[in-house]
Amino acid sequence: MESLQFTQGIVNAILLSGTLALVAIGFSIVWGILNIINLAHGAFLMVGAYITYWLFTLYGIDPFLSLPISMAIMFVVGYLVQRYLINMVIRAPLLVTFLLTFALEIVIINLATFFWKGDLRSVTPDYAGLGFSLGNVQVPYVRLAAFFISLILTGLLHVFMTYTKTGNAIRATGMDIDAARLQGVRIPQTYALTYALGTALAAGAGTLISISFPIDPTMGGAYTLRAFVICVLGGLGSIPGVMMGSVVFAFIEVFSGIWFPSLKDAIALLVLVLVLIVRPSGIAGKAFYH
Amino acid sequence: MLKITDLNVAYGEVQVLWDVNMEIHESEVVALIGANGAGKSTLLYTISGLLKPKSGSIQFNGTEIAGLPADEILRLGIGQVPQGRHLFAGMTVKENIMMGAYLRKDKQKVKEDFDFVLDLFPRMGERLNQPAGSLSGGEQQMCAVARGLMAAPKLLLVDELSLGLAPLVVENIYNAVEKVIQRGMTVLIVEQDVFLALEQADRAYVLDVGRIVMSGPADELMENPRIKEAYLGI
Repeated sequence: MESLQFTQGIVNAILLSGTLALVAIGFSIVWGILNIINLAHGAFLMVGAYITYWLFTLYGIDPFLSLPISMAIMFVVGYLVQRYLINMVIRAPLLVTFLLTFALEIVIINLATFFWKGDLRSVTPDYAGLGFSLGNVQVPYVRLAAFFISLILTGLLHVFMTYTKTGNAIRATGMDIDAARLQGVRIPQTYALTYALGTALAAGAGTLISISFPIDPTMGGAYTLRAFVICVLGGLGSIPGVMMGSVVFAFIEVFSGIWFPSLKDAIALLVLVLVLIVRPSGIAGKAFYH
Repeated sequence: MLKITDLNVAYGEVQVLWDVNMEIHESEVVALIGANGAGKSTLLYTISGLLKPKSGSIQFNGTEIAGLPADEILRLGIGQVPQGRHLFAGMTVKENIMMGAYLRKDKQKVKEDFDFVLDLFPRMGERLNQPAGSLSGGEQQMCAVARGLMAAPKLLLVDELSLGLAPLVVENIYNAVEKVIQRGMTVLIVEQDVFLALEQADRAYVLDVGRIVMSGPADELMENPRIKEAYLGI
C-alpha cells in the first residue's frame, strides 16, 4: 500500500472515531442503565440529521448552529418515548424491550420515507468542500469540526455523569435500582432522562454526520450496528471504554475499506464475533457503568 | 411516631406478613427479631415504600404512608440501611455517602452531616476516593450506615448490620449506631444476632413466619425462657 493512502487512512480513522464515539456513547448509557438494547438509536440519529437538513434547506440555518436545536427536539422526543411507551414494558424481559425498539425503528424509518421520500439528500453549506492539506493528506474542515464537537459532547456527558447530583443518580440507578430508590431517586423520571440523553446524543451525531455525508431514511441502521459492536468492544457502560472501542473500530473499518472494499460491513460483524469469543467483557473489561 | 396496623404483605400469591401491628415512639430504639425468612426485611421494605402492602395501614407522624412512593417516604423522614449493604459498587465512597443526601437541599447542614459521619467512621475519610466495591465487608457496612445517615432521617431502619462481619467490626459499627441514638434518632434495628439487638433496644418485637408473636421491653424479652431457648441458645 502506498504510504499516502496509509496516512490518509489514519487521518480518516481518527476523524471517524469521534463521530462513532458520539453515536456509541448514547447507545451505551441506555444499554448500561436501562438494560435496553435500543435498536431505534440509529433511527433517532437519522431524524436528527433530517432536522438539520430541513432547518438548512428551508430556513438557511447553519448546520452547526442547528446542533443544539436537533439535540433539544430529540431530547424531548426521547423523554416522551421512554416515559410513555418503553416504560410500560420496562419490567419485561430484555427480548420484549428489544422487539419494541425494533418496531419503533421500523415505524420511524417508514414515516421518514413516507414524508421525506427515500432520496439521498445533502446538507451543503458554502464551506462544505473546504479543507486543508497536511503534506498530501486532506483534512476537510467540517469533519475536523465534527470530530472536536463529538469529543466535547462526550466530555460533557462524562462531566455530567460524574460531577452532578442527577448524573450520580443515573449511575446509581444503573448499579443498584433498589438502593437508588432508597436514596429517593425516582426511577421512571431517571430512566426517561437517561433515554432522552441517549436520544439527544444520537441526534447530535446525526446532525454532524449530515454535514459530511449524504443522508436518507435508512442511514441509521448501520450506525446502530456500529454502536452495538463498539459497546461490546469497549465493555458496556464505561465512557473511556466506548472511546477506546470507537478508535479500534474506526481503524478496522477504514482500513478494511481500503484493503477489502466489498467486505466492509462483514468485517464489522466479524470483529463482533471475534470479540464475543475471545474477550466477552470487552477491551476495557468493565462490567457496569462507571 | 410510626404506627403499623393490621399490615398484610404478599409477593404475588405468597403472603409474607400477616396482620402485623407495631408501634415506635419518638427517640425510641426498637428491635425486630426473628429467624431467617420470618419477614423482617419485607417489613422494612414495605415501610420504606419499596413494596406495596396488600392491606393495612402505616402511619408516620399522623400521615398515612402505606403505598406511597419510596422518595416521598424518605422525604417524610424514614431512611433505611438495607440488608446486604446495597452500595453502588462502581462509585466512590464519597459518591456513595453523598447519594444519601440526594433529596436534601440544605447544603450547609449536609456538609455538617458529612463531617459527622466521617467523624463516626474515620476509616471512610481515608477511603473517600476509592470505589465502594473495593472496600472490605466491614468498611462497606460502615459506608452503608454513613449513606443512610446522610439522609438525616427522623426514623432510621437498619437491617442486619452484623451479617457476615467479624465481632470486632460489628462492635465498631454498633458503637457508631449508639452515638447516633444518643443524638436522639429513633431507630428500628433488625438483627439476626438477637442478643446484640436486645442489648441496644428499649423494646422489641418478635416476628415468626410473618406474624408478631411476642413484644415487650427488651430486658424482659432477654429473660424470657422462650426467647432464650429459640434465639439466644441458652
